[in-house]
Amino acid sequence: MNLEPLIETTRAYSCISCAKCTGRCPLARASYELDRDGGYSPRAVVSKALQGEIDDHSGMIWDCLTCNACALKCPSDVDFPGFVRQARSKIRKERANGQVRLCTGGSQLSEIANLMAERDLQQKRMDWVGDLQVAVEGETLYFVGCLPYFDLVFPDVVHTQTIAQSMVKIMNAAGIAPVVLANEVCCGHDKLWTGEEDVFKALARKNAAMIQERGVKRIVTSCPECYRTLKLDYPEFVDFNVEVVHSSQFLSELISDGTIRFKDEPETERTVSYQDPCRLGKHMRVFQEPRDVINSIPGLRLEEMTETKAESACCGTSAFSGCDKVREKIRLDRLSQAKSTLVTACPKCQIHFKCTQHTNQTISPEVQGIEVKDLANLVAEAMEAHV
Amino acid sequence: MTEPLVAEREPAAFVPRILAFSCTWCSYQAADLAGTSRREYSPHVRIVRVPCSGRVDSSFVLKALANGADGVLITGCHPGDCHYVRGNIFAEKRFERLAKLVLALGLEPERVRLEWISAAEGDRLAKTANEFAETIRRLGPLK
Repeated sequence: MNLEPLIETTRAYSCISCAKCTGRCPLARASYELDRDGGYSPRAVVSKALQGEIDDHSGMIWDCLTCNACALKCPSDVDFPGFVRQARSKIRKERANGQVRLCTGGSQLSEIANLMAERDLQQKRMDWVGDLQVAVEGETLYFVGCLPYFDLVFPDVVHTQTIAQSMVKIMNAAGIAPVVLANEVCCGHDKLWTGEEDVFKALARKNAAMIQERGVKRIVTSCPECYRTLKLDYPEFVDFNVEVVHSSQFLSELISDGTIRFKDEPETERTVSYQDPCRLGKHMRVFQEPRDVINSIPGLRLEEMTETKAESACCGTSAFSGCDKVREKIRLDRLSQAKSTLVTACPKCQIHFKCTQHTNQTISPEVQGIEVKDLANLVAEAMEAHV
Repeated sequence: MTEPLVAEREPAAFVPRILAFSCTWCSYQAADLAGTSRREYSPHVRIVRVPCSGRVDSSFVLKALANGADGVLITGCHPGDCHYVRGNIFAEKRFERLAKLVLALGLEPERVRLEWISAAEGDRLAKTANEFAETIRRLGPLK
């Protein structure tokens, strides 16, 4: 396999084998604690690649969380997640199938994305809208992502639809009736990061066409994966250039200019923790806005976990792939650092944490009792009711 | 004056592509019985043998639909008769969720079907397969 272009574009040639990446990698840390002989090593993957080998059988390429923690630490600026992404897509092109291990929910979502890419569906996904005000054309679009499907695939675990409802409720209160696409398709993030570039492009073209014909100037989305994909990857792969903001940035804007107000200060103060989603924080460097939003909510006090921002571990699973006891450990470590409520700004983080709370038999009652909640839900609950 | 060499053909009739997941203990045996009793059924139904209807993950069905199937039939043992005691009950619960997904995706709910067919019911298997093939033929190809 010719690795030259891959090594070139991701600057892997400048790796000095210092292993800062491995020291920072959440997967390496958790796997080392579980089994000192094994363990994940981004450095080893790059070293091998520089010798012209790509080892896709040991799982090194397929296990990576692509959380970008390593790249932020790298003194030589090697884009390791980018390397993994391109290697996966290369392996899939040349050897039919890679070793993507999806959970049952993840494989359903993956097939749903395939269906959306292959077929000309007329989806019925708007049930969640109810009495909320949405538009067909306009300047601001709310990109819902897979939220309605998460509720159908993980019915016992999450109700991510409420995130979309809260966001549209807040937007309505701010006098905006956002455009919502009745036939929106998956943004393709998971397909892009598990090496199915063709499916990703098919999805991206569909969304780009739909969004551009509605005269949209700005996209708001609650999902950091959609955020990254629409903002960085769409312009790279398809003809698309629209401003994209994450809901945390949008909320922080509305709060700071006084468009949305909160109910009076409650008597009790609640301490909460915040989980930085990898796509929002480590990929897109949005660290401050979600914290500003939490701190502006009366009665909430944010206490940082021991590892935060660029240093924080992600939720342990990306693209619903590779979930195992190492990933469970990452999540349990995160949950045990958290205070009574763990605020996230990513529906997928929420799914992964709640899934662990739901299925892990060995979990302590304290960890079990931690409430995992999205930022948008918190804001909507604390907001003053505008009539 | 030249005449077209090949007369214009009628548009090809729609040939439904139907995938069936049949449990090895009951309904796959029923298919065998249908065969040995010379009972004909629609050739458009292609059977995949699975150890239990409980083995059928919703993603199998979605994958079939994404890859060209026009309809998917799941058949298993009658409730209470499952070789693995509760596999078909799991299948039923999973199917309820799948049906909601299929609806949300905008597909006709009739494109997926769950049926209980025992090893003795060769006739019933043939009848179900024919009925299902007719339903899918009526719905037309999955766009």
